[in-house]
Amino acid sequence: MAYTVETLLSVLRPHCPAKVDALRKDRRRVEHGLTTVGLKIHCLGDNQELLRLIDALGGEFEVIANRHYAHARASVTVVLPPVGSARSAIWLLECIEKYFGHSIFHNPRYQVQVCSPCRLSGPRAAILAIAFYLGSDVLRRYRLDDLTTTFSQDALLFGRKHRGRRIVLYDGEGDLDRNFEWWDLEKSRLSIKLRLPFATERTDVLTCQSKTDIENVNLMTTLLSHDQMLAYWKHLGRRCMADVEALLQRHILGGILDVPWIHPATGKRADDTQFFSALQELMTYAFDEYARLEKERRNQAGQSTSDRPGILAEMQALLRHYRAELLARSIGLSQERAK
Amino acid sequence: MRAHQPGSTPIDIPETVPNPAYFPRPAPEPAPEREPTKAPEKVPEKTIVSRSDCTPVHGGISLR
Repeated sequence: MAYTVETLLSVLRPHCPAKVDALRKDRRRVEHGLTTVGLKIHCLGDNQELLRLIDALGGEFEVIANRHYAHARASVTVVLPPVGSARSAIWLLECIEKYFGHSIFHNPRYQVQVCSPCRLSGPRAAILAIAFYLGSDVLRRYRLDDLTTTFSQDALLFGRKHRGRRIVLYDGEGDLDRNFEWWDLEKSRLSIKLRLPFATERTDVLTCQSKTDIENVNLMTTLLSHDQMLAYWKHLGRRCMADVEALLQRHILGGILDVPWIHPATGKRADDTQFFSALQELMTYAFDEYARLEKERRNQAGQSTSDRPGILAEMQALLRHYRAELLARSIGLSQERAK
Repeated sequence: MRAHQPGSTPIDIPETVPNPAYFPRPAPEPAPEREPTKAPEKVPEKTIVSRSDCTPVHGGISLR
């Protein structure tokens, strides 16, 4: 009850041959030790294009698997094959956009769930959710209903799979393709393992809508999972966590880290109100910042009237800094070994 | 949503807005082709390898 990657790529190839060929060659290539990327597309409205894709992949009987974990308002949820990098993930979605004939990114009809290996601890999941929200190219004002999945309320039916309503979610104990590289650390040196050190554990961000979201989630989950697993990028991960915490403290938002940003998957029903209060506080702060910047833009024709960059610019700078440092170190590592 | 301070002109803010601090960055550089030395994964003695461990994960589609 599953379609193969090759079938999907064959269906997409007439619409974007160059990218499909690149995906065939490099789909499993891990870049700079960043984590692998799994994708789910939740279609929140008309699903004709997705149904056409299902038909092209062999029809419902062939391709619909026994999967229950979906956005509650999704008419169809497509689980895509995992890839080795954010770049491949974006290419895959761009190919599907070509097939559909319309955009998936920044389209309110679609929500992209980005799945990363490793169940991040509660504090790390909080950092991921906050960095994802503030670092996105779009600020969104969520309602709690926007975060409802089929695993939000059905504790009796699915038992341990109850996940509450969150931006960041643990896996539903489904499949995890482990056949990707993992940059580990042994005796302070890089050691590349050929399989992921996880059985099924994942941490997912439910509400991605852009390429930037995918890249930011990929960067943050790499840093946070390496910190948690004491893997190659653990030092960067530890510093990044501390920097995000300090950023929130500077903006008197440190308290929002004390609430459960992820459901612990214990099977117990979750109290979503604490989390949503914290998210509302963050959203209000971000939108106030937007209003301040918008007023400055109108009044001063782009000239900033204050010295403080603001939480949005600080998060952008933080993400830029850690992306640049990770890339520089990775390239330096490669050059060092080439000597 | 409307945001304003007393005495100032209110501005309307939609529920979704572009992040004003965001600037698109250039396309990422491809990673170098060279790979560092690889070390095989250490497999614990009592690891049970299930069929699903050996089967590549393919995509699936769910309808509801």
